[in-house]
Amino acid sequence: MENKYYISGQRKWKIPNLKRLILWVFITIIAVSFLVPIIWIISGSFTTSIDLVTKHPSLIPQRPTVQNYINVFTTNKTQTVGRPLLNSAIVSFSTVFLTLLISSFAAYPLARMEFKGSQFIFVLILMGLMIPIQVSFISLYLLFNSVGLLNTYAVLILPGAISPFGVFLLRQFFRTIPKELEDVAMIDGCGRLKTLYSIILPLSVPALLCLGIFTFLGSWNSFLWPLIVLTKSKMMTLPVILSYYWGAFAGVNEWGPLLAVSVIASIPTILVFLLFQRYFVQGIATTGIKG
Amino acid sequence: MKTNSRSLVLVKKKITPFLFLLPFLSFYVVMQLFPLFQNFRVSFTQWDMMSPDKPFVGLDNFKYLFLSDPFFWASIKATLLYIVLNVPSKIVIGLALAVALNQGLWGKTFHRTAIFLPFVINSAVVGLLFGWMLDPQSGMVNYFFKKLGLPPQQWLVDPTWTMEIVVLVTIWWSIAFNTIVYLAGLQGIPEELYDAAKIDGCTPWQSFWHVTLPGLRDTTMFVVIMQVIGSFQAFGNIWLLTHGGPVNATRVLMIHLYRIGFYFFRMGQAAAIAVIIFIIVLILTLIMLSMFRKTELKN
Repeated sequence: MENKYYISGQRKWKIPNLKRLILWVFITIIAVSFLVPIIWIISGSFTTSIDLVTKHPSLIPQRPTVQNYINVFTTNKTQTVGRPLLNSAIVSFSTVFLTLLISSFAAYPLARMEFKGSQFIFVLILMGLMIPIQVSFISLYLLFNSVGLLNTYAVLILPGAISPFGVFLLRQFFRTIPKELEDVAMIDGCGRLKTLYSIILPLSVPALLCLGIFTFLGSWNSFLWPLIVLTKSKMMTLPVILSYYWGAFAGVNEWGPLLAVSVIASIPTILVFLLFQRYFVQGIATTGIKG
Repeated sequence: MKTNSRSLVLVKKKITPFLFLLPFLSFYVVMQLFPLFQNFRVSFTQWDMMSPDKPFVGLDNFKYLFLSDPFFWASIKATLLYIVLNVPSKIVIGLALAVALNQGLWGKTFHRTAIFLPFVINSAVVGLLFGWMLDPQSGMVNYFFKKLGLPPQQWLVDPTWTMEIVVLVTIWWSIAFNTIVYLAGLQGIPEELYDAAKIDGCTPWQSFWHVTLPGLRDTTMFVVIMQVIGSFQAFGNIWLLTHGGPVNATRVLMIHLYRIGFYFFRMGQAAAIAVIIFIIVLILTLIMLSMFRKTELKN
């Protein structure tokens, strides 16, 4: 699939060369300045806290050191970063896996089976697209509290794995797959379940990838919900532990370890973005999904 | 025997779709629809999470918010200020970046990667990064201010420029969304319109005003409403920079809700704020849907 949004030479009108040059300089300056804070945080993470406060700021560390990274993995005042990293990974990967599984199961009958109530169920799911999840956080918190599931993986994973958007997206995609392929499989004696995973899902990789990427970004970066439901530091995810560290370290100018944790927390999403930029752009452009 | 197995097949055929839908629907009802309705119920009660009973108080929570809550109107004001600063600037900048990225300039892959990259960084890191750079004592912004002979500022401590800073950081963090949506919108404008404009002797600037902008009307409508809805739910990017301060300058509605609900455990009042946010977002969504309906009917 060629990325249709950026084919070069698709200029809407010709701008004279000098003006193009000015525009190029302008956009290049903007692009570089967008990167500066990111370079700065990486550079800072390889600088000791004392140097960060006493030396003048520099985009390239003058005395590079990995001490901050060693510190956040071994010695720390409250807790090391290993467990939060593991928690974030467990939560994100489970959320992605469950979202893809549950959404494709729900999307399949809505796309391909005729049954009573299918219209009603579809409208019910469309309604979910309009509900901002934050407004039910209070009662969702009370619900998990009443069953004693605060500070567990379940409370972090389950609410994120229910995606009306995912069902909608996959349903639309499943409908574009020729029905004949499915009929052939059914004649060969495949049941519905087998048809789903041997015919439909392999043909839906682009849609599954798109949903998977945005679910991962949303889950890895999720902040307010984990902040509400987590009180035990053992269960905290990276963004939450970072906000706690911040309170403890920034006041005493211990910026080094904070910056190291920030870099660790950013690497997975940046990698996903760089690897799947095309799907990321297409996902936003065609569906208006937010990360 | 034969009829038996046939009716079994029929029953199986009938329940199959529901078996597929069951995991989603059950979780969906329990974790999204039920809490939404539950939230309305909680908003009519008074509850601190400690006492076993939750007395029904009617509209008292709403009355408290509107009439006696010292911070509710401040948070409405902060939310509106956030919207007024955030939405128009992100529309203009997002459109400008999209037009520039759409020119097929040399190095465009680098340009767009750099501009989109901040979008995937999580709000905690964004907050910490700018909190560090703006730190009044050790931050580099004040360092460069001193170098340039300017007086160092009490960034994020003095309320004067706090909301402007929050919005600047938000633009850096999330401009990718508007830019991408506008890029898609630009691709949707038929080439012939530009050719026709050129034949009529339009300069690039004129064709921008008379072809591009009208062609992006629906896109802009979509972006504006998405941004306004998003602004009513804004939390992480503001919380980490300012915690709603200084002096409530950035205490937007979600922050007010979080403070009341999870600092003071006044669940009824917090739920009432959630109801207010829900109603505002619902109205905006319905407006958006009816606008899309209209344009769809036109076509």
